[in-house]
Amino acid sequence: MVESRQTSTTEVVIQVELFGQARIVCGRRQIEVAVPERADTNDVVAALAKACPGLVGTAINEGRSRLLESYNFNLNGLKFVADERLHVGPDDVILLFSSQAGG
Amino acid sequence: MYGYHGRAMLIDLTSQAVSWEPLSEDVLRRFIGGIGLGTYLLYRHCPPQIDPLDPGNPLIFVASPLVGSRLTTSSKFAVLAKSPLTGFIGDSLSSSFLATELKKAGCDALVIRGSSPFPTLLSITDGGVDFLDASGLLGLRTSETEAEVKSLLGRGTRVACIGPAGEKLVRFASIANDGGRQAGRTGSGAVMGSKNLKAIALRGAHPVLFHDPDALNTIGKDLTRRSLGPATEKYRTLGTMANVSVFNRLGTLPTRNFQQSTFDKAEEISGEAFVQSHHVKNAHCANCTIGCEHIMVTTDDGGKSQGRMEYESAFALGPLVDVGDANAVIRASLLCDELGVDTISSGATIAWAMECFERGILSREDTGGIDLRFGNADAVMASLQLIADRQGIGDMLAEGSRIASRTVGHGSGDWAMHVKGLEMPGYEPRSLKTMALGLAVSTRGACHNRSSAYEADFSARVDRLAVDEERGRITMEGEDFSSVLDSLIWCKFLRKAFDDFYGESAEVYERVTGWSMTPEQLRQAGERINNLKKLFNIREGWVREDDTLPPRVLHEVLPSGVVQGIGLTSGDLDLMIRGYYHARGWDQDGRIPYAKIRELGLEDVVEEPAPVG
Repeated sequence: MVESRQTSTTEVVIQVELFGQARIVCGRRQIEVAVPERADTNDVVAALAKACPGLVGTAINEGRSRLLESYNFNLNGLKFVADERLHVGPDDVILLFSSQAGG
Repeated sequence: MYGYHGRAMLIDLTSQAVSWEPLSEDVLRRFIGGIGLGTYLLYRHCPPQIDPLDPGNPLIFVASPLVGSRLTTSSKFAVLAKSPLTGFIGDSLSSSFLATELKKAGCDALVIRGSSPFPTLLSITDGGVDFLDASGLLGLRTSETEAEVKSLLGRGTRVACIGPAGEKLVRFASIANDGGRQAGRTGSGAVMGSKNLKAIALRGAHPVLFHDPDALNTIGKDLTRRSLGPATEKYRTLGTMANVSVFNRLGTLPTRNFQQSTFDKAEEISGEAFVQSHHVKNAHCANCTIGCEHIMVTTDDGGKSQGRMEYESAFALGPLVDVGDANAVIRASLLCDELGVDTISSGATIAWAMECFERGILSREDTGGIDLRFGNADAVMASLQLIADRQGIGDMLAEGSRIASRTVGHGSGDWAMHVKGLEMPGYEPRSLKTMALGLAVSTRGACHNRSSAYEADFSARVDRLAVDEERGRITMEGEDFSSVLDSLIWCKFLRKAFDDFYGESAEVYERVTGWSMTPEQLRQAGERINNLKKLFNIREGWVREDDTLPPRVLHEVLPSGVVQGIGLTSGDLDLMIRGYYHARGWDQDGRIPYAKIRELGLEDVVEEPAPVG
């Protein structure tokens, strides 16, 4: 079980699990990023772009402000999240994968 | 006429007669082409209540108005017949050069009826139709058959053929074309086999005219640009195999015959692993700029196998039978293509048999000595060959899981994972509730493609683990959208590249045909086509109880992963089905009021029933 840990009163370190081309360009299955405790998706996007610049143009727009339409965030494997506050805390994991579910 | 030839070629294999059926502008505008026009032709030409393997069951190949336009992904065709697996409508799609040659043969559709007195290679050219002796092709695998026909009739010939499984009337036999592409689901290969028809060779030179080629060229360039953007990224990079690791993490990867929805060896057969260790190159259909096909090769010492890998094949021949060896999965998938069987139904039927074996209902004596346990990749390969040959236990498995479970008994129908006789695809319905509804009500049986209802589940639009009546409207809209997509025909992988699907598609239709078409008319065509599919099924004996899911789905909860403890009750499903019937304007038993038939302009196809009493 991947665990998040609190670093300060304002930030938490969370795990982001990567799938598909995002995993290929980053060369790893997960990344640790620090985001505000009451982060929104833009905060996660910015942190991811910093941690793995290869995601820019792949899953993140060139302005590093949002996910490309071809990618999804999912919280803990259960909840798909749009532009909203995530309220991430200890034990939360964000999944990043393609929004194209067809097969 | 632009975009169409305005006629279908009718071929009677029994009498070797060829005739033509005119297709009016009115019919073509209402049913478009592909699956829609095929449904219209099937309704007209299939005698009610006929045995699907009777010579009278028509085998129908349909092109579309877009074929020949060079618009990206438009080289596709539909195959329809009454399904030997379901007894209801059977419809499949395939792609590439065969679609172009079909249209260049001078017709919008081929309707093949009867049964030949000798094994036949049907050769269709501008010069006419020849009924050639195909005795020398019998027993050949699909790639061998295609190569042999090309050597006989010329390299430019395009071939649709069956493998050994189609010859043996395996109920989930496929039809192969253009180097291993498959019209895979619902058993059209068995219908072709029942007609003693081994292969169809097409080579034509009829011009295909379009009303406004300059505008189509402009539209085509823009669509091509979009087809290379984010909307198709997954298909171009890892392909559909990318689903494996994601579905596993979300608890939607059916494993061990749907006993669980997570697979402990998922990463070993994931798209990420395949791309890094087995990928040879990408390939694409004719006139496609996406190139979703990922050619994979085995890397062990077991003999080289190389070909396309798709998620559904990997799921059915991997997690579903508990095989986590990537090389074994590649080998089994390619064997299915060569024998000419649907990978999903093959894997699901073998998975059912594996569970019977582990429960002691099937013995080693029954299996001819095969240790048919989950995880035994060799047993999968051996079973596939026995199915195609209808040898030993393969003869029973060749009937599909529904009929096989009735033969075996002992309650094994409880774990026969099908809907209406068509085996379930790789989307776990208990953790994808909108998809659960889509699978239950699909006229095709357990099909993920005719509604794409999973799209809502894989988004923030709904809670995928909850149910409500609104799923009915979502599923209906997905079905109507898919029917338009499958009738024009666009590839499903292009669907996200449209900003305004109905608006843009209506404009393309107008530029192709010169006939007016509004976005609303196009949407209603999708609704009309789905209603006609349902009317076909009602005519063939559909009852409300057919719209359901396997007992396992409705009585067992998922045991692992993030969805541990999640289930789906009959009440949950009924709630969603009620919402679906209501959204469709059907009665509470799922029947179509004649007022709806009139509203959709189907009264010339479907007669009004006589008043009761």
